[in-house]
This record gives sequence, structure tokens and C-alpha cells, in this order.
Amino acid sequence: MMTDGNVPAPCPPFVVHDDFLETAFELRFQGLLQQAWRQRTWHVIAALPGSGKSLGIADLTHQSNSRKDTKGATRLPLLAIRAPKNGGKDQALGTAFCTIFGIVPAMPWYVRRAWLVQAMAETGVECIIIDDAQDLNLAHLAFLKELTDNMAAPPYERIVSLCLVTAHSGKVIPLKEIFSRPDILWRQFRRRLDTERPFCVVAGHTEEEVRSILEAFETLYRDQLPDLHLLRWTRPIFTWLTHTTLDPDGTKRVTMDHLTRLVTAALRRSYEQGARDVDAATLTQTAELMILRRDELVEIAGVPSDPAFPVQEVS
Amino acid sequence: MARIHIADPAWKTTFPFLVEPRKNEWVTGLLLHCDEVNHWGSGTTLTHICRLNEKTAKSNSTLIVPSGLALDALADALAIPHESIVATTYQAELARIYGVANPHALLLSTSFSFRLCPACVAEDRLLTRTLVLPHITICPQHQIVLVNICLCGTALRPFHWRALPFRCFKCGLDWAELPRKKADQGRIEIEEQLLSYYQFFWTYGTPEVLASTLRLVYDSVVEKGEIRAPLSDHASRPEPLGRSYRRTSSLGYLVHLLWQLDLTPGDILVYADPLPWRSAKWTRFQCEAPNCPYVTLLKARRNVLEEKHKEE
Repeated sequence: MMTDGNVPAPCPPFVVHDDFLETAFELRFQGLLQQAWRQRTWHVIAALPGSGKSLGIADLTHQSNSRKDTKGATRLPLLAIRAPKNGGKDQALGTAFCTIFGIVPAMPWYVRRAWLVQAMAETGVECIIIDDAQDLNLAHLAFLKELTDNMAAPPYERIVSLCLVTAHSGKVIPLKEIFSRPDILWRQFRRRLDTERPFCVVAGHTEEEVRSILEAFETLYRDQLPDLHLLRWTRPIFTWLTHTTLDPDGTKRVTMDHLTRLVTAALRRSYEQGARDVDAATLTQTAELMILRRDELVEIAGVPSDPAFPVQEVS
Repeated sequence: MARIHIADPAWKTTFPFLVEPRKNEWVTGLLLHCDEVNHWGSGTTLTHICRLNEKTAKSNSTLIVPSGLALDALADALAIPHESIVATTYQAELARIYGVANPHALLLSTSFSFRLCPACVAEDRLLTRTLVLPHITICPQHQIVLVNICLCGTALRPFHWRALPFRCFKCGLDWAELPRKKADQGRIEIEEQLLSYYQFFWTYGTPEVLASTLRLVYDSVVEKGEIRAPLSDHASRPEPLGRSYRRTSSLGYLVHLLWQLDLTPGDILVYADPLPWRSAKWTRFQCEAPNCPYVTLLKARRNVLEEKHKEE
């Protein structure tokens, strides 16, 4: 684009769309969560890091019709939290649960413990999802059992679903080993897990599924790259993203994180070069960065020529 | 009815269960109602709000005119407008009457004892603002005597860390179960009159109206030379030395005087603007002459009140 003075107008920055895409992985993952919710079953659900577990949980939470109204009625059928980091005792998990309800004033832990059961029962909690459940420790798991047992006991008598969502690698499913221990607590925990699918692994995307995601990306980015035609690169993209560097377990499946990174980085480069579509060279260079040069050190020296932030002189 | 969806950022900045002020609800009742719906102990909401403002001391006067209370924080935590919370106190009214930004509770009364209507608690878990008005000892709605002592003999306290909301901290009795004693008809009539004074000041009160009321009271005392018998409730007892100035400038005291001198809100309006000469006798002035300019003038001033009533 040129202005009257033949000076090229500055190109607006590339906009990355972070819309939630209902990918094949999300359909599988959310389908499992919804089924557990409906049937009030307990599962350990594993998927590779970067698959889109957290986004899927957030999307399901938004769809869950949780609401507070000013007449004192609050509904929270789906209670989703992220497991506390750095270990901690049962109180850390209790605090994570309380935070979901909003502002809960300071109170002694023994009071908060009882309050939590009452609040969960009154808000109609039906399904508990814990993301990053691989970070849960034994104290957390024991508290989870106590909490759900109290919900199931009179006067509440509410059976809730429990989904412990974990990141895994290789054939090792976190928590599986703990629940196999002979202690009474773990035997009780194991007994509560679903009979048919106690431990599930949700797979990433096949080549065909990658194709439909690329189709969605085409629609999302066509306003910035009008001639964008990503579908034709489905095969090479799938091949790059199932390279052993990015798929060390050899699943031959693609994670959403890798796919999004590759596509958005290549599209940004193309856009900044003034192109209307992405070409093979740009895609290859980006894939090489992700696969071959992913551990390469980049030296940052000198002063940026065009600071992105406004500089104001002060007297 | 406002509704907050979990995707709304307000979800995280509000209490788990929300309440909104009912008509004429007192902030103390609102705080207890919030404690109750959230399954918290008595005073948990108040303590939380006070923690947000380190200067706040938890006292009864704070709840009449909560100048030190973080009302904004309470409004945010309940997802309701700030004005709705202010309306649960007499802050706005006293600020307007006395022409000050942050009125002190002493401007309403120098002493306060917590009392309540068991019927209001039983029906709606409600404590009304009327409970804090000096000389008011009867619930205007149920016409029963307000209660300040539990059946166990303990003086009622609005908040206590050991109690559940709306219950005696000593014996645990629900305030709704407290005895309901029918009020004496004579006392009901007196308090209706007192409430009409308060209502007048809440509606029309300004520093000018307050000044004219004080002038009227002064002239009436001088000209009449006698007043009614004092009201028999705690607020009429003699105050300790040094508190007399604060007492005489409080609205509760002024309302008491107006009742004692048998003056009406209409009389205050008559006195609010210049008169041919200053005398309390203008409040009872009558003239048989047709088109008397003084009668017309006084009638016009009193009409302001009637027109306002009609509008309402």
C-alpha cells in the first residue's frame, strides 16, 4: 500500500487468533469429560503436553451454565481447578477449590474444610475436574477422597464425577502406580474409578484431522493473507510434526500446540514479507527451527532499531 | 436480578453467594444476610471488609454511618452498585442535612443500643435502618416492641465470632424466636410522629432547613416556656459531662425537641424562609381577613410538603 508521498504505509501488526477450535482431540477429550459428568464416574485422563487439555477444560467450564445471581442462588455444576504446584498439604488443594467460588474470607482450615463441602453441595457440583493432576500428592488425593465421601454422605447425598487430567509421556500414566498400592486408602480410591475406562489416554491428531484444522486456520487468517491455501501443505506439515524431535514417543499423532506454533509462525513471517499466501520455503524454514534448530542459542546484542513502545522525553 | 456467568471476570471478585439489599435494609442486616447465605459465621463478611481498610474499627457507629468501612469493596464483592450499599446506611442523608462529606454517627445519636424486630427477622431475615433511629422502640411495620435482650438475659450483639448469623452468641437462640410484645397504642402514635420528623429530614433536610429548625426550636422554647414530658427511652437519659454539645447537635435530639414542643414538619417549612418578624407564633397564625397576605404566604410554604406527598 502506498500513500500520496510514495512512502509505504506501515503494515499493521500480524494478529494471532486464539479462538478455541473444536478439534478432533477436543471432541474426544470433552466427550470423555461429558460422559464422566453425566454418569458420575471417576477417571484418570492423560494426554500429551500441548494437546489442548486446559483449553478444553476451560471451554467446557464456560459451557457449563455456572452462574451467580444476586438473589443468593449460585450454580456450579462443573468445578474445574488446576492442581496446586510445589506440593503442599491438603489445605493447598482446599484453597484451590475455594478460589473457584470467588472471594472466600479468611477462616480457619477446619472451618473452611466443612464450608467447602456445604458450598459444593449447595451450588450443585456434579463433576470435579483437576487439571495437571500429575502434581497432586498423597495428601491432596486423600483430601479429595474425604471431600467426595462427605458429599456422598447424608445430608447431601451427592455423587460427583471426578476427572484427574494429567500430562503424560511414553507409556507411563501418572497416578496409576499410586492407585495400585495395597494401602486401604488407595484400594478405596481405585474402587471408585470407572470399571470400563479407569485410565484413558486421549490421542493427538491424525493427518486427516490435521487437514481439517488447517482448513479452519485458512478461514481464520484469510483476512490477513487473502490467498491463503494451507490444505496443500497437510502432508509435509504432518510429517514435520511427527518427527522424533517433536514426537519422541512415536505416537504418529500431532499436538495442537505444535501445529499452532508452526502455522502461526510461518503465517506471521509471510505476512511481514508482504505475501498473500504462505510458501513452501517459509514453512520449511519454520519447521527446521522447530525440529533441527529448536535448542539453538540466539544471541541478542545491540539496540533494537525500532522500539515497539513509545518513548517520551522528560524534562 | 443481575446474573454473573463463570466467564465474567466478576465471578472471581464476588462472594460465592450474592445478596442484594432489600427495601430499607440496614447494612448490619445485609452483612448478616450475606454471612447466612454464604454459610459463614456471624461477622465474617464484616471482618473481611474491615481487613480491606486497616483504619476501620469495628464499632456500632461504623454501621450507622460507615465512614471508615470499605463500602466500595462490599459493593464489588456483591456485584451491586455502590449507591445501593450507601442506601443501607444514613450516610447520604446525614451528609446532605449537615453539609459534610463524611458525617459521623454522632450526628444521628450519641448513644446506640442494638435492638431488633423478631417478626422482621422471622419473615425476611431483615434488620431495617429504622432500628438505628433514636427514640424508636417499636417496629413500624409489625407494631411490636423492639428487643435488645435475649431470653437467656444476654444483651443482643449484631456480630460475634462464636455465633451463627441472626442468633444469640450465648445461647444460640434464633432472633426470630424472640418474644413479640404488642406495643402500647399511645407509644405507637408518638413514634409515628417521630418517624414523620425523620422522614421529613431524610427528604428535605439541608443545612438551611436544619438551621431554621434550630431557630424554630429556640423561639418556641423562649415563647412557650414549657415543653412536653421527656421520652422514656435510653436516649433521653442525661449524658456524661462533655457530651452535651454533641448531643444537642444530633438529629435524634432535634427530633426529640420537635416532638416535645409539639412542632410539625410544616412549621419548619414556615420558618425556613424570611418572615415579617421572627416568632414561633407564625406557625399558628390565623387571620379572618379575606386574602390576608400572611396567611397566603404561610399556606404556600406548607403546600410544598403536601405537593411533595402527592407527587410521591
